Amino acid sequence: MRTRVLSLLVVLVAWQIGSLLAGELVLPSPVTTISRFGDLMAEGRLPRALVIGLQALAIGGGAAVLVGIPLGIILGVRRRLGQAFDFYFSALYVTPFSAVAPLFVLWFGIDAGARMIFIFFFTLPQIVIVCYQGARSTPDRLIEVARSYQASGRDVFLKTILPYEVPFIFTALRLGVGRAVQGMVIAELLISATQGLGFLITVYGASLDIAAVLAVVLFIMLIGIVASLLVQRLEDAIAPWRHGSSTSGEGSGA
Amino acid sequence: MTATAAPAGKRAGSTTLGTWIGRILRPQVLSIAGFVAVWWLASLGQPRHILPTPFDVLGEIWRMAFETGELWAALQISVVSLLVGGGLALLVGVPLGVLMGASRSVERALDLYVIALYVAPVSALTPLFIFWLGIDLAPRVATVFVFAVPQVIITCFRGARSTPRTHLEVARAFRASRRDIFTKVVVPHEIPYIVTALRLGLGQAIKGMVLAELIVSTTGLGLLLHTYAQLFDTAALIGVVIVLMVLGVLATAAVARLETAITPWRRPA
Repeated sequence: MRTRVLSLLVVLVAWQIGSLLAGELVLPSPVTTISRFGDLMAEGRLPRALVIGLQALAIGGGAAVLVGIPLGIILGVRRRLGQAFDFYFSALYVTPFSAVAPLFVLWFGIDAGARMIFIFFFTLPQIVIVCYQGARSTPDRLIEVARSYQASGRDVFLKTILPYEVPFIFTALRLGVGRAVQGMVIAELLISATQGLGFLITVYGASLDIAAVLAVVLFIMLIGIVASLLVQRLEDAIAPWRHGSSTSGEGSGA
Repeated sequence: MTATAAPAGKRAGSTTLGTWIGRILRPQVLSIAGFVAVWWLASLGQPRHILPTPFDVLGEIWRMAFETGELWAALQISVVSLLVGGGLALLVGVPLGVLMGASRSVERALDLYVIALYVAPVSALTPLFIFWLGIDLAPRVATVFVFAVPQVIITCFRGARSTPRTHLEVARAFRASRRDIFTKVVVPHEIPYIVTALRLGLGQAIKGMVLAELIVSTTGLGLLLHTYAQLFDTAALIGVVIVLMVLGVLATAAVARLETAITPWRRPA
């Protein structure tokens, strides 16, 4: 803990010195940035933008979870289906989505709905891939044993495959939340030009108010970090036996 | 994941014709053919700027690649930021990750920032790079770098940390110095992880590259995307997106090959 506090102090001091050397205009000091953040909060612009962003996040990301978990499991359980369709999700996962943003604008416009659809498609592959891997992580031997004891297809699924799947669902949720926040930011930077956090960045950027831009950027990054910490907490509370294992995107390499 | 499809082709066995049919009728091939067919049917009643047919898109890719050549010109511009930014991410990320894995105090000093960068939406940083670095190559390189570096550091960190304890204990029992343990036990164990870091980092780097070309300075493939979106030339737009997807898939697959070639025992499940 002491090392962490020390290193945080070092970074803050370096930031302060850097801002003294480069000038407040180019790199606002930590103090200026925080006071600007206070202004934005007090004016109510930041909370309003946040609410708009979080709405799109909740609907788009929520839909991705609702669709992605069953889809991933089905692809994992039905090997043939998995072979036929899993690479679409791998391809979507590696696709630079900012390149697809102009297409979304053509098809869905630039309002909140377009951003929700963008977040949905941005988050979906992550969730499908992790749940797919989870369903396939059940050792074949266990499935064979269950079959040789005449377990029905339903029993094999509920009592053999599903227990292996549960931790992967949590991983999918945690990685999915992080990805949905990234999708929200990209959507607001590239799709909507009139509202949300991305819009604030654009506006303050245009008026060269770098302290405000820095405040918004750090705020967005903080949201992403807090969101995935919250899911991690949830995971620890619900499935404590998973503690500390596979903390991040092992599945993201697929 | 492609490896699992092999038995389907093998089963046809002795007759060469049977083998070929089995090879061609793989689930992936059927599924792509189905996808293209559905796309084609869906596009029939639609105007070209909403949903072009697959053939329109192929024609546009052909035109951009071989008639105007703009695709190659754009690729050349894009690849520079990819190589410089990705190279820097490897140069910085590999040693940092290994050091963090080898020393607890380095880990404690840095893990906060690495994890923060890894989970935070780094796209939000891109507009800041414009102020600090202008709109030329530098901000694009910076974007590629911050996209790729957390992934590289975390993968290399895991590699160094996962050195089997028994190996370390044997080395210590034979009175190897700290330096020897590091160079002769930890580093060799690390090498496959560096290749994995390269593969995962590459995917991230391509995403950073495209984002920077759309937000920071419209150039390269980003300029093509931007132009065709403005012209409502959806066929060309989808064409560029497909080229980007293929680029990402091919580059990742090439590194994955390298990965299995170096460490054949680590076959993915």
